[in-house]
Parts: sequence; C-alpha cells; structure tokens
Amino acid sequence: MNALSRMIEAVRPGGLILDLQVIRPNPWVELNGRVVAEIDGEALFRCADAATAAVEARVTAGDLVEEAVDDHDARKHYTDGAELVEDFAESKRRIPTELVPVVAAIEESLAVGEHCRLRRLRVPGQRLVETQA
Amino acid sequence: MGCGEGRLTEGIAAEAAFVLAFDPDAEAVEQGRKALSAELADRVSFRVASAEQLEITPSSFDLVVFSWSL
Repeated sequence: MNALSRMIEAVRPGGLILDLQVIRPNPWVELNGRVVAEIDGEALFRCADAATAAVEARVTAGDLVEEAVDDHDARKHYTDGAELVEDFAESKRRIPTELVPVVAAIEESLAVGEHCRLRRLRVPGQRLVETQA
Repeated sequence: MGCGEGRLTEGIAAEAAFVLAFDPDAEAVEQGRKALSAELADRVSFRVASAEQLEITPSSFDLVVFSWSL
C-alpha cells in the first residue's frame, strides 16, 4: 500500500499517525435514537481489512509503534432520508434495496451510525535518536 | 489524508498551526473548502490529489490522519 509508505515518509521522526477505520458490525440508520435500518458495510469492511493488514505489517516490521487503540461510534447527520439516500448513491456501503424507499420517505432529521477504530501509531525514529544520544 | 468533505478537517485545524487536507474527490474537497469556518481558513490548504500524487517533503509533518481512507 503505497499511500501508507508515503504518509510514513511524510511524518517527522517521533511524529504520529492516526488511523481511523470502520469496523464490524454493520452501520445503521438512526431516527430519534431508534435503529430503522441496517446498512450493508461489507465492501467497505474489506477495504478496511486490507488497510489494517498493511498497518499491521508496518508495525511488525518496526516502522510504526502502536501506542493506543480506541473503539467508538461515529454519527453523520442528515436533514432527511432523501439526503441520506443521495449521499449513499456512490458509497461502498449499501442500503438494502427494499429499504431505500422507506429511508428516502423519512422527512425528519436522522443519522447514520458506524463503529470505528482509531489507532495511534508513532513513527519511531526520534526514540532511536534519543537512545543513541 | 482522504479529507473528503472536511468532516474532520475543522476539528484538526482548530488544534494545528497548518493542515494539508487532500482527497482525490474534487467535489468533496470543494465542499470541505466551503464548510471550513473563516477564522481557520488560513491554516488549511486543500488539494485535489491522492497520497500517491501529492508532492510532500519527507519528515515535514508532526501528524498524519487517515480519515477512513487508507
């Protein structure tokens, strides 16, 4: 994954990379605190799996040091269901076909919630310099 | 990296001296540019590019954030 290599190169020795990824289970559509639909996130999860594997490989190689992991839920808010459906039109995540008209008909504000994992990774160069000094 | 429509950019910019926010999606980057509050605008440079396309000086950033994007 060349993007990861380029970003590691961009960070100064001792600097940080924060890696934010979606994690299973599936995201959901939330209306007034109630779940009204589950979203198929598998395609995005597969991308996240590949990204996680790439980061793991760099941790194993000693290019990055994992300092902390935080799992949390994130929500993106929409004015109404039509706005949400439009936003998902080109997304890797998919609203089940039979639920698209149901969600699109919602005229209240709603949100998509998803489980996320934030990893704090340090580029270890500075520590090595400090040790040598 | 992968700033999209700037969902995280505003919060990062509030804590940073300078932010380079980039994404290959030109429409999303334009939305991010418009959404950024005026008082933070001079701290953020938006680019339409992927990580592979971007020219970045090595060791020039304290922090990189992958926004659901790696």
